Amino acid sequence: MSSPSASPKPTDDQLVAAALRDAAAFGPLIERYEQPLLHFILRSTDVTLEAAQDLLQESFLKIWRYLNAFDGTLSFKNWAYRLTRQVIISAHRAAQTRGQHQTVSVPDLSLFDLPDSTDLPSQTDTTARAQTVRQALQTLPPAQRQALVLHYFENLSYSEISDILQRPPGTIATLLHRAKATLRPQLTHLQLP
Amino acid sequence: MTTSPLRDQILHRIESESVSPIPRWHFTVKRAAYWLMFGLALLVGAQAVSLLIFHLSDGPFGLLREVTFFRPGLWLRSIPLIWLGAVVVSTLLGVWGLHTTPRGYRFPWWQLTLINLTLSGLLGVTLWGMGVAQWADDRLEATSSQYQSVSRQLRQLSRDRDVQVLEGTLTESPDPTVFSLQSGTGPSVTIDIQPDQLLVPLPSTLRSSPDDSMIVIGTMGENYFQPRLIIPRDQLSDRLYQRLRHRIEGRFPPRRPNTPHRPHRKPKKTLPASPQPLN
Repeated sequence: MSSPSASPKPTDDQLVAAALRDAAAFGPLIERYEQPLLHFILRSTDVTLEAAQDLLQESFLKIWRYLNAFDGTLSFKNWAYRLTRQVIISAHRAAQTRGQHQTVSVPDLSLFDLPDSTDLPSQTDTTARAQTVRQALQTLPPAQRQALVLHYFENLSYSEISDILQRPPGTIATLLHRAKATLRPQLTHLQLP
Repeated sequence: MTTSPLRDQILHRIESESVSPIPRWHFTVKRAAYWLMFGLALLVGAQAVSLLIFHLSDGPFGLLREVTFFRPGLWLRSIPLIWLGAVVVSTLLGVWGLHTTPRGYRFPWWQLTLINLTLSGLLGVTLWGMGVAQWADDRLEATSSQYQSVSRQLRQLSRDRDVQVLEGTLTESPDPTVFSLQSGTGPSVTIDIQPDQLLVPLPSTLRSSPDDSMIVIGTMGENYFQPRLIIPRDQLSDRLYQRLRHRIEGRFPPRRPNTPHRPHRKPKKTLPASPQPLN
């Protein structure tokens, strides 16, 4: 009998098939994508951590309800990002209707640490840079911001972003180009790569 | 092993609120509906294209062939606009239907529009070639009193034996609707233009270029000539102009008497006699 550590991790497709038979099997999928989706929500919206967690919960419930729509043409990860984005858009519209606007709390700024943050002289500088990047990101239209977050923070390809945002790959390239052009003057002093 | 609080919360909600996945057939039906919408939009678009071609090419004057191509105002005004609208609406619906198919979002809108228009065009030409457009036009006219295209009115006009064709320059009179048509050295004819009687709007060159030659098609009333169609000479191809000249000069070829349509029948083949048994 092999030890549990030696057993191969089930694939997403296997977990989805298992979840459709038994709801408890949906748990591993939640654990697997909890952090990436939470980061995606926080980076592409202006909501507080609590509100982001609520959105995350709504996203997983939507994923659960739409589980039969997952047909394997996309990877589960990209499909989950797509549904999460739809939840974000719905929440944004609902908030606009109610006239509410929630801002991010300060501890969440660490989510915007840049990959080379360890090279910076101090944590204060890191926080300041994160603050600057976040403020700059807030100036972007939602589609440009989401494309930027998915490409530079989640390391997704144009094709994958196209599947998530449901726009042609050419449009994704345009969105990224425009986003960078908008951010460049604001972030020049940070000497980003 | 510890589990994440979020996992427990979600699984608890799923259980307590009895949230279950939407059945697979729901998504299958939804996808099929989008494809069906695309297919229907394509068919409607193709039929509209075939009717447009029919009206442009099979009209009394064969407008598509006859009217100078770079002056498309006349033939654009002579087609039933409902079919042009149908092409636009069906294209929009078809593009939306394609966009909502599983990978439709990967194509830009202009490509989807081009795909839709190309398919509608190809299918439309096929339907026109098969005679479906004429059949549909006849059926529409038979079933709806409202449906009478400019093209069809032109056709009726061309069949009317009382219709006359005049040519000359139009000069205004004190009355803005009454013109005087001067043709060469002949006597001038008074033209009473009633806008609601015209099949297509009055050409803008009528007043801007009064020396331009005009073709006036209409009927002679008690005192005035009442036009149904006024076309600037330079908007007509030479071929159509020559055909109209036949009427102007009274040399219009007599019509052939109506003969019933006789389908071509092959002579019956006589079967060879069955072989007789040899006794």
